[in-house]
Amino acid sequence: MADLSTVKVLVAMSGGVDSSVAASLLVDQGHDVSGVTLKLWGGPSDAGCCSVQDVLDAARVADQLGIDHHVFDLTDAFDRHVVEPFVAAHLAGRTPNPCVECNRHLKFDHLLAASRRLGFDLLATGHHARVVHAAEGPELHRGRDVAKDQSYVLAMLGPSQLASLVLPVGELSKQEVRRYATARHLRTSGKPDSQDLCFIQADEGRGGFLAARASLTPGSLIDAESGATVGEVTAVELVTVGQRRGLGVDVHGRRRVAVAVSPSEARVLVAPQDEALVDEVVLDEESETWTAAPLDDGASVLVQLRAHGVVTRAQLAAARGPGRSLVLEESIAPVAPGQTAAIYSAEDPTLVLGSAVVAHAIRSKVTLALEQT
Amino acid sequence: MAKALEGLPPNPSGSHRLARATRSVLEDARERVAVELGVAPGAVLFTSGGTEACNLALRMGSRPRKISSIEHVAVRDAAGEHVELAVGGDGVLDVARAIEQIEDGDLVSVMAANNETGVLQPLRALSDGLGALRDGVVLHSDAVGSGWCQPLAETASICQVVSIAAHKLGGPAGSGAVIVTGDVAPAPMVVGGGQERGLRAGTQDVAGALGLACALELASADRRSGAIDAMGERRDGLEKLLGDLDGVAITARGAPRLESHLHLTIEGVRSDELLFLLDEAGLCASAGAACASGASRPSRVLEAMGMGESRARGALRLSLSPLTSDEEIEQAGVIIAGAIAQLRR
Repeated sequence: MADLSTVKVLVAMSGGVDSSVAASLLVDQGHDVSGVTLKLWGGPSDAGCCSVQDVLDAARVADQLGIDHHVFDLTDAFDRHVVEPFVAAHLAGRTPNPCVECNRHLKFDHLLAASRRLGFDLLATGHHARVVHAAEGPELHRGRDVAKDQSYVLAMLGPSQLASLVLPVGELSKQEVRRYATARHLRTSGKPDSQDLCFIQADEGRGGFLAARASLTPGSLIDAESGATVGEVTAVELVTVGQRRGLGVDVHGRRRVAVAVSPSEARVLVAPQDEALVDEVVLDEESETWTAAPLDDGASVLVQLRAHGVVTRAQLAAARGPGRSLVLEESIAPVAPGQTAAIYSAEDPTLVLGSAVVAHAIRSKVTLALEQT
Repeated sequence: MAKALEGLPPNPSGSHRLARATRSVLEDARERVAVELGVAPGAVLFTSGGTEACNLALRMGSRPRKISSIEHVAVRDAAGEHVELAVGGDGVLDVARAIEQIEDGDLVSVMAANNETGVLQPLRALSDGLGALRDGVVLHSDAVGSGWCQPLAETASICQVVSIAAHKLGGPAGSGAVIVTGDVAPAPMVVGGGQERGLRAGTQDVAGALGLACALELASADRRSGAIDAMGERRDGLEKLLGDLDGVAITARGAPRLESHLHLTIEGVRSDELLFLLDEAGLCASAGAACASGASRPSRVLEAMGMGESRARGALRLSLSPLTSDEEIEQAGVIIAGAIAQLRR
């Protein structure tokens, strides 16, 4: 990495405590730092009209640090790359991960390119993950704070993006971040962590958001083994593969889980949880990304399929159809199409190797009767 | 402002001699504002600025609202349900179409000059064109953006209701007025102590009112001395310089505009990135109307003029003051050309 004392760093400041501390740490280190806040969502949000409060908080922290602060309006790109695909994916029965797509298209594509045009050498964010500059090239690792680790949503970064990236808070625990912010009297020191999608208000929820943009399909819950209708849902699009809530129990008292969601057929296939476990995750063709060289078939890896989900051993293999699969060493609960598979090193479990988008998950041992229809 | 109020209590309401002295400062300010606008002192209602003035101006009961499609958000939001009067591609109100749309009893709001493009609006032609209908229509003009370059007395001679603000004239922020003439009256906005004819209760900001009066007088002096014309010539020089750059289009080039305004769009460049570089170089500019977050959003004004979004994303709005020097204009040209070149590399 270049000598940081002479480089210009652009810090993406969300108005939260992590990116505030990231900016402050870089200033402490003597770098030439500027802050930018992205206005991503033009509609209503829980953070106020166009998240004004978050922007003002970021601007105030920048003031306190004595650095410039700007606001970039990327609402058009956010609509195009995050919101519209989010809606389309749900209508196709998939469960997308908009935070990953925002990072992919907005922060580490659009903003990174803008930072280079503006003469910055590096881009920094407040993510809890670490970029380690090894001899072979930059590596992405989990953050030191296991509970706050955000490497999952950064797993789609490539080598050239990592080479331009600084993640100053990745070495700190969340408690250390807050303690630092409090000691510096940063306005954001006590702000709660953001939990939900920034473009969906708590009182409308995902259902209200989607219903305002598309007509949702009422449908049936079908037992995947017997084909019997066992219930109804008001909107098939709002059911996620792997969901148990609201799906009831079968005649033996076993909790049901959604194994397939099909808005076009107005149905959700359900199965008892213990029969629904999957052991192979098929990846969307051309969705693979790698932090260094791509892995070959047969490579042993660790895979994580949710933001804070469990880690499972797996092998990369050619899928039966197009694309590739991750063959899991042990069966896990159903995985929703559209989710991100973050791939970590089997030898060094903190090292991110790459990512892919889940096409669907399958079970190699048991096939439920209706799954093939 | 400080000197005029030295030793006086802040509140102009009260019967004792000191309150009377403060009230005298306030009423002196009211008279001076009235002289600048060519109206009776009683027509001047002090407000906390342009937005509040526009809000009060539009509180005209159940009259149907017809507003131009390029009004400031203060007018648009205060108008509530409304019909839009279109502008042409040059940003000028389409008077013939507007006259067809306006009906007896309407409250019509057309700004004196647009805050983004600087394009002057044909208030006189609109008023004259209404003919016999004119008497039944209340005409409001948001003149907040035009006061430095344009005589406000002219606006007030055409429109029964005019909104103005001090900060756009170099005066203090947080001070404005709504001018209400004729036999119309807005509904009270803030009730309480009955100040400002009972339409805007609350202890008046005497210093702010005095600041507004001074700013109006200084702006008039600038127009008389030729400082505004000189500013226009400097603007034209910068316009020529920037207009010759590849992919740069001057907005509303052929339309009558405020001498203080220069608006352009730059192909292949995003405003927010351009503003970043200009700010870094010490040139203060904007892209359109900034929202409260400071983000420059795609302009509704440009959209109303029929400009596509991708071109509007590359908007740059430059404002001059009578104090802007030739050297500053020259520097601005160099900085802007350099920033455009850097972003296109």
